[in-house]
Amino acid sequence: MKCVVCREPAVIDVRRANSNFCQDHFVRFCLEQMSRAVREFDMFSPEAKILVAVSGGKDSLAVWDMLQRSGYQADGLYLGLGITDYSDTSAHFARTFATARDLKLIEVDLPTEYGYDIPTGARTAGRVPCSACGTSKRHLFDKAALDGSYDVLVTGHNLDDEAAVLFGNVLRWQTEYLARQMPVLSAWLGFPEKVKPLIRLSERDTAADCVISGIDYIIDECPMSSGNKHLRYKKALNSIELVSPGTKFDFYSGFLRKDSHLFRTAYFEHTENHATAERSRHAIPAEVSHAQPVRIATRAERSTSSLHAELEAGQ
Amino acid sequence: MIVRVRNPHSEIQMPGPALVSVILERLGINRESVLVIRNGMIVAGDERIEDSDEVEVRPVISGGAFEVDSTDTSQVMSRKRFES
Repeated sequence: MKCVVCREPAVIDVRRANSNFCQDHFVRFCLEQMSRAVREFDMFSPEAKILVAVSGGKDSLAVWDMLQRSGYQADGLYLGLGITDYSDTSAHFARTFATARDLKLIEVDLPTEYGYDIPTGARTAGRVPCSACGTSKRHLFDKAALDGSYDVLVTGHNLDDEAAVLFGNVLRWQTEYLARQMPVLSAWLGFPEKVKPLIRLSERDTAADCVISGIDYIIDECPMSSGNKHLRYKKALNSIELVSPGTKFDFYSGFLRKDSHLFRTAYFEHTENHATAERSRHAIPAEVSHAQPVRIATRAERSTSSLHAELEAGQ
Repeated sequence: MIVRVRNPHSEIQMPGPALVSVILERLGINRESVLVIRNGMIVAGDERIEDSDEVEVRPVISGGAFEVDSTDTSQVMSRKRFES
């Protein structure tokens, strides 16, 4: 097996791209795929102040590394979730990565600062751990990004994550979730802009990128995620991918290219209702909310205008 | 050869030489869901693993573990489970 670029022995194949790569060209391939996603979806500018949600796992460390190598100013945010030894180990990998590269890592410890951990919080709320964890993380990520005046919050969601979520949402026709499943979620009242630069890379790609780049990450899985339904969806999609390479990418990219706009009406109704509720809660007149900082409204307004134009044109 | 599988941890002894793709096939592991690593380096599917080699089969699926399919163990000489 030869590298498609230099013809030297390849170490990995990327079957959806019908390509094999040596170590150097694979790392470049990953970097190019991330840059392409950033460009295609206008995720952030070269001057943006970026906060990366870091778990100590392969995806978040890979995206932080790629951003840093691409010259972006990116700080990390690690949340200590109080999940026994798993949290201690994942924190170790996040800290080691940041220290070795002289990067700023912000740490928030849930048990210390908020008085609960994920296992206890999930039990108390009567929710499955992944659900309680997701809700806590989203809230704390949002808060940290806004408190630190970051332009954008980057997460390490990859192609497999997005394809699995899309698969689940389609199986249940959860239209509101389908509309929100975008690589860029615009800033809104109380929410920072969130982007997913790894949507063109699979989990296998990000893991390989880490191994080749010498990034140590937590390999063991969260002990609370066993039986997670997204794992079943990933397994199902990988079974299809095995016999039909490119299926995951076509599924997700086809959704973004062709169908996602069909669900946006539901999303904008949801966000407008949310904004109205926020205005009401804080007794803010509608015209004042329109005067929120430009960064908050720009992309959403542009998308809304575009949607309205499409609707008016009967498309 | 010794094949160390992660999540859940197990150590499997297998006759070599064998191609990486064949090793995964014997273990019933989907190649899309793992990396195979020898001496810290990723090895491609068509790489030959010698009888004296040790390789790690590392899952890449986040959010949980995969199961080794034990239905086809004809080439597996021994298997030892470890506590993770």
